[in-house]
Amino acid sequence: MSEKLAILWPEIILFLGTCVVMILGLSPRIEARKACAAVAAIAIVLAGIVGSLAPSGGSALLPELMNYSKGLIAIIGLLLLLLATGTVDRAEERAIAAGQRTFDPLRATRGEFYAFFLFSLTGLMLCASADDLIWLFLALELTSLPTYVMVAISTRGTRSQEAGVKYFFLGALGAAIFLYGFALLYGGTGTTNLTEMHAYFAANGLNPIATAGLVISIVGIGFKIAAVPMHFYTADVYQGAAASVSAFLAFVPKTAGFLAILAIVAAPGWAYGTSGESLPPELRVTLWVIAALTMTVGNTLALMQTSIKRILAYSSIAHTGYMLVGVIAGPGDGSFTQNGVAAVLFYLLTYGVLNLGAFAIVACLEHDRGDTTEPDEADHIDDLKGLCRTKPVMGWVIVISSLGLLGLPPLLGFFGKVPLFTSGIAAGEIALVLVLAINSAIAAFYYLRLVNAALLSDPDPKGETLRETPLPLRRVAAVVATGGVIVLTIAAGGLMTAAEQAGTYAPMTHDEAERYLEAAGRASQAAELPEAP
Amino acid sequence: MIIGSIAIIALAALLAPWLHRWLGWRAGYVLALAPAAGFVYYARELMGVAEGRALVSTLEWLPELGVSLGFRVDGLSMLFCLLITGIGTFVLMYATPYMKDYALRGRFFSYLLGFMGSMLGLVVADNVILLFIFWELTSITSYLLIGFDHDRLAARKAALQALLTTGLGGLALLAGLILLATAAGTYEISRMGPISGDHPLYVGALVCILAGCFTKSAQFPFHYWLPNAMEAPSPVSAFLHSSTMVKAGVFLLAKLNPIMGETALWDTLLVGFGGFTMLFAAYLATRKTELKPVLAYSTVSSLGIITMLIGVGGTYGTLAAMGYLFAHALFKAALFLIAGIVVHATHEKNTEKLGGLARAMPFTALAAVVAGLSLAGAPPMLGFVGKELLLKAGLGSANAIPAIAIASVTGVAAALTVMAAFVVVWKPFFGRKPEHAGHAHDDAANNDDASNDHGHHGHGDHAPHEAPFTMWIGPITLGVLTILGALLPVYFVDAVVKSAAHDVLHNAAAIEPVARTVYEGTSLAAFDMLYISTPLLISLGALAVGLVLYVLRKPYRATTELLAPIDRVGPLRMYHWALDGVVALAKRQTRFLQNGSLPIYLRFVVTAMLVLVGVALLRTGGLGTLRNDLDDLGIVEGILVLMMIAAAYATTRQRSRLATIAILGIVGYAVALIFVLFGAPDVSMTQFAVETLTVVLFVLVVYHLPRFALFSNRATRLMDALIASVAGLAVGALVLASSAETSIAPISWYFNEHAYPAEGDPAGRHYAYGRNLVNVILVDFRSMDTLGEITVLGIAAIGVFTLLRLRPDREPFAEPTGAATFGADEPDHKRASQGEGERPHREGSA
Amino acid sequence: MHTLLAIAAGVMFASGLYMMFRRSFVKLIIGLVLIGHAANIVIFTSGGLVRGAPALIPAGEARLPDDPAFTDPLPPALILTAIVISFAIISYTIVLVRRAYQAIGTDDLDQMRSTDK
Repeated sequence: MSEKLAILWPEIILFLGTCVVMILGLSPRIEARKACAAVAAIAIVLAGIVGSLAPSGGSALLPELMNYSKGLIAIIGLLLLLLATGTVDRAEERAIAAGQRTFDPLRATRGEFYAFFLFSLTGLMLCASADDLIWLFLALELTSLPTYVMVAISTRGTRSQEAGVKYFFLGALGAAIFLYGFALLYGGTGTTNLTEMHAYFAANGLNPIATAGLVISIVGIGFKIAAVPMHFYTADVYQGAAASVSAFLAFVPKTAGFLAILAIVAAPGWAYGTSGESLPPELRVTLWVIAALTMTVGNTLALMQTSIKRILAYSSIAHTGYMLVGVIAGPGDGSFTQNGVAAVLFYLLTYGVLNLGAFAIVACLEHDRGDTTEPDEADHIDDLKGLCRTKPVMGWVIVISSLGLLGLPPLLGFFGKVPLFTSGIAAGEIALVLVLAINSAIAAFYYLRLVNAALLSDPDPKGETLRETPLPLRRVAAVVATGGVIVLTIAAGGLMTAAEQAGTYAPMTHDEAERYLEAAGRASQAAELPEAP
Repeated sequence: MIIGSIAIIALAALLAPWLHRWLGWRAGYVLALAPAAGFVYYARELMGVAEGRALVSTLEWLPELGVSLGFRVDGLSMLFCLLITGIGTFVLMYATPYMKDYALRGRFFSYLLGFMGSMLGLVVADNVILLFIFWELTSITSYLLIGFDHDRLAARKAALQALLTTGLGGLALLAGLILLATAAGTYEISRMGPISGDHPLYVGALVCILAGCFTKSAQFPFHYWLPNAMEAPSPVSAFLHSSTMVKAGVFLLAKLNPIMGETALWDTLLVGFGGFTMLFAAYLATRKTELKPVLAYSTVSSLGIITMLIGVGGTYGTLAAMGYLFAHALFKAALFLIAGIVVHATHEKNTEKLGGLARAMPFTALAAVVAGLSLAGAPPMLGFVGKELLLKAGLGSANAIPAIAIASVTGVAAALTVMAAFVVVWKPFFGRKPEHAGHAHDDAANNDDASNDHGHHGHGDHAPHEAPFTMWIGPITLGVLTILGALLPVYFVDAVVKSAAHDVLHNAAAIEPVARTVYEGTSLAAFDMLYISTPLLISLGALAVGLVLYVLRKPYRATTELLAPIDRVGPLRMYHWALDGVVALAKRQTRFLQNGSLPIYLRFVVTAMLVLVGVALLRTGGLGTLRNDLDDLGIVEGILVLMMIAAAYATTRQRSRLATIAILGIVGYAVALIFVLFGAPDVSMTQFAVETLTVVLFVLVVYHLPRFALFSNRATRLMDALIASVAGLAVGALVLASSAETSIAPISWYFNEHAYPAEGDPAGRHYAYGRNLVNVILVDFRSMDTLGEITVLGIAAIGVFTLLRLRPDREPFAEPTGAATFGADEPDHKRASQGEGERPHREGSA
Repeated sequence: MHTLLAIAAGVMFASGLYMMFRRSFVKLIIGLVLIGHAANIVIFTSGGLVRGAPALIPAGEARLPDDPAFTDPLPPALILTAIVISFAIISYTIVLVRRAYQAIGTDDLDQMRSTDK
């Protein structure tokens, strides 16, 4: 148990941070309230450091996954935090500063917002260390529940509450579905521990119950990653919530979902069956269909949109599809070009950074509507027109982010996509890689519209109300993300090595599995247990 | 140093805007030093490379991905390097006065130099991924350059079309290159050995790579973007779309020829597509009357020739390919630059309206004559030599394709090309100027297709005059080179062409003879050519026919007009159909799937789930046996379960909210009682408590809401009932199947063993010291989960509290009204019926 | 008994799903509750039904005796966790209904369409 505790220190740090933040948010002193974000940032940084340095643990099947994931989560989490400053209570604080009102702790939501932020990140880190179905379920729910609230409180208008409702219901449905899948997995294998489940599959193969459980679990977790058929909420929710919260949603639940799917899929494993070379066929077919549909649906639905957030929402669906190719491909022989798992982990990093830059644009540009109201986010493509000339920093942020998401070489996004291509081909999934390629081409349509608007179009004459956000940290986040894209392009080698190591897969052979099961006391014969009368 | 040559160009690209701000429009001359330096470097290294010592330069970048900055200049690459840097220098010098009046010229030079650097990188890259990176960079810079006049819709559309076509091809290329690398076992082209046609990945790689190369080099059916790319300013057309970028495709084909070229499939496809393109494009060239489109189509035709020649192969074929490639780059660039000068000076693009310019611009005319003769393939130009080699290769080819076919197709194409050459060169410079030409300026102003007189309004109705020195020096030099190259091949051509051909051949044994043959057999010295042979006859015949066609060009054009309807199903139309089709599909799909309605989403989700699971189970052969123990039933249990079922069904039929909630309570209590009966009292107590709380909470909150209304119609309800029933059936079946599964031993024996110590138990084992196993599991064995559970409960509580506090009716700040905020495309009808901005105020009740 | 409970689970699941498809917000919550119950029954049944005593180790002993038969303690533990969490979710949802009703003025989910395209 103590080794379990040793790997949980990052989560504990975040949790402590949560408590402090919540208390600070209630303080009548403005400095204390302002410190909320700082405390949250410190907590994230500490957790990241501790998490990367901690001894490896978590799942025995993907032993190096945990440290890499925690580091990744901390880095992107910090940037997301910078982006999320000033999301809630902005108008309120301005009124308080102007002396029009006094601070009312019952009305303030700032503390809770940052607290939920940290809670969600805690859940995400827990996902990374999960090696048991129940742990995984709790971690996934811990990741998602705070996001439901974050969406609902992200603006004062009705649209975010609406978004919150839809998100919540579909999320609850998704959770119910994958919980059911987990229950079936337990029923089919007699255990909730993923390593033991792997041993069971290696020794006895898949039975129908377990298969149903696997499929249902993956479909349910599909909600978190916005995969078909659970993707419907994405556009409405991303558009309804504030941009900084949408950026959060595009990364955090997605990472949680992928970590969970990797953990679950690792149980039957990519060395399944007599051929020992790929996933079990039923699982492979399911994932194949989901991946192909997700990519295509995401890209085609994005084509006609004029709201930037909706475009990014649909594109995030498409990126999920791309990553699922890596999940199907599996670790191959472990080298980076063949390792689909490593490709997914690396892509999460590249996607996280690029996506942040893209959403940062919407978070950093607003339409000024006078000082008493909350400013409106600039969400329409026309708001981007001529941005490279009027506000060059922001303009280039969106250009680089869009080109990166498009996968144009030599930006980071390209190097994220190539491992998906190569691992897919190495695993023999030529058809799926073709779908991936075609979808990348379709994606060019709408990403280039964004680039075109910012780079080549003339500024919209109706755009005088457009201005950059006065919140400096958001701009910092945007610039850092974009700078990161360029820096990481050059320095990607080290990260690729890290991802490759994180993607090492340690399956058991048939005999090893039998021995493991025996040692765990679960040989195929029934143990002594009261019989049903 | 290879990297240096690319780097200096990249640096120039970055500095271009500042240099322009600092030095004015003449900064272009300074920038031209960058490619000039590169040219000097490559020229110095030329002899070494020609003798077989390739230049190599490597830098590790991303070793995990197999991407290294590996550059290698062999003969083929050297040919291209010289072309890129040499022609590039002239183009930059030409562009400086040309772009004098553009406001954004700094950016233009930036893009142009960026393109140049990318193209240079492309031809020297040894690593497959690196090559692809540069490939895509050239596409993007080309897009920026074509769309440079971005105020014009035509330019933007052309740029997008070019980018989409070459970009799609590029993606296919990436897939193909990766397949190739997988088949060859390495990502370094120089280390790849020949791959046989039987290799499983061969065909896939071939198709993908050909798709990439054909889109880039505008081969049929992807040729439609190149003429539209003429929207770009003339320097761009001269550089990108005639001599460098479009040659990237044939470059790659040539480079991969030793690796992939062993099969008949390769030869057939290349000869087929190349030959057809050659003929078809030559024909299309003769139908146009404007300068740049004629040249554009003839470029496509020339690229077809080169493609075909690579397919034909053999010593003559390869030599012809490289020689013709070299020659074409020179004279086509010259012709485009000249076309630019003409349009710049006269503001008139239509050759029928031009005439007699030789008097006004003698140097340009001279250059035009020389380049035009080369295009027409007249002796003693290098173009002629290229055509001769081509015919010789075709006639002497040992391929299955009949030599006659190649020769005749080439002959026809040659004739058409001759006519095109006359159209471009004779009429504008030496023909009679038609009477209306004085209004050239007005006509130009009324045109809105390919027009480059943006900002040149100051020239008004001046008589055309000679262009500045820096503009015609390029065409003249290039033209002179085509003569000298033919007359004195040893000094100007052999080292380049010969070594390039050496690298393209995949039959190593033929290398030595080629080196010697260049001096002897092909007799590039023009006078030696004048012994009567079939190729010579064909060439002279083509010249004659082409001249006749030119003279009779008006009836010719009228005849070809009759064939115009075929355009309606041409590839360009396909492109537009594809584009519109994707857009329409997206529109319909969006409207169907994403209509914002939550229940519809739910239906989709559940249906999709059922389908997926059903399919997965069908593949495994179904669920297996289902457990049936209806005989084993206690009375109390049976009644409870029946109550459960009845109540569950009843909730769906109720109209009153309170009744529904109450019946829901019955379900919950029945479940709790079942738990008691089957030996789980802890759960039962929890269930009772929770159910009670839920009902109370429900009543408290829901009490004030109105009765259930029937919102949906009968059909929807039936469909929902159907989906729900199937889902319920699935769930029930799964439960029965899992109950039948008896081979799994539960894990609870572990908890049994470790809950409480007995005497005989070994010391050192950990015990929970509890007797209630369920509690022990929750609190000891699985305590982390319980901690998580409590945390979730806490979060939900905070969430509830937070939500309860946010009350919109006490909001002091004005709220944005519904539809205006998020720019919905259609007005929200239902919202409108409620009245915008009306917020139901329920201060006290809720 | 397994069969009857399986049928019960199926019916509850179907009813719950049907309620969730309806356009009324409140019905959706009721559906969620029903599905929650169904899930609990599923877990319980899958773990094996034993009409026996609860898993309490009698005083003076260190193990569950083999006779009379005892219920497997693990499924109840899982169900407990599930009940608590679903309670958390349901209560949150109920409050969400209230908020939504205050904001939109109706129970109809199809009225919540302002972010659609």
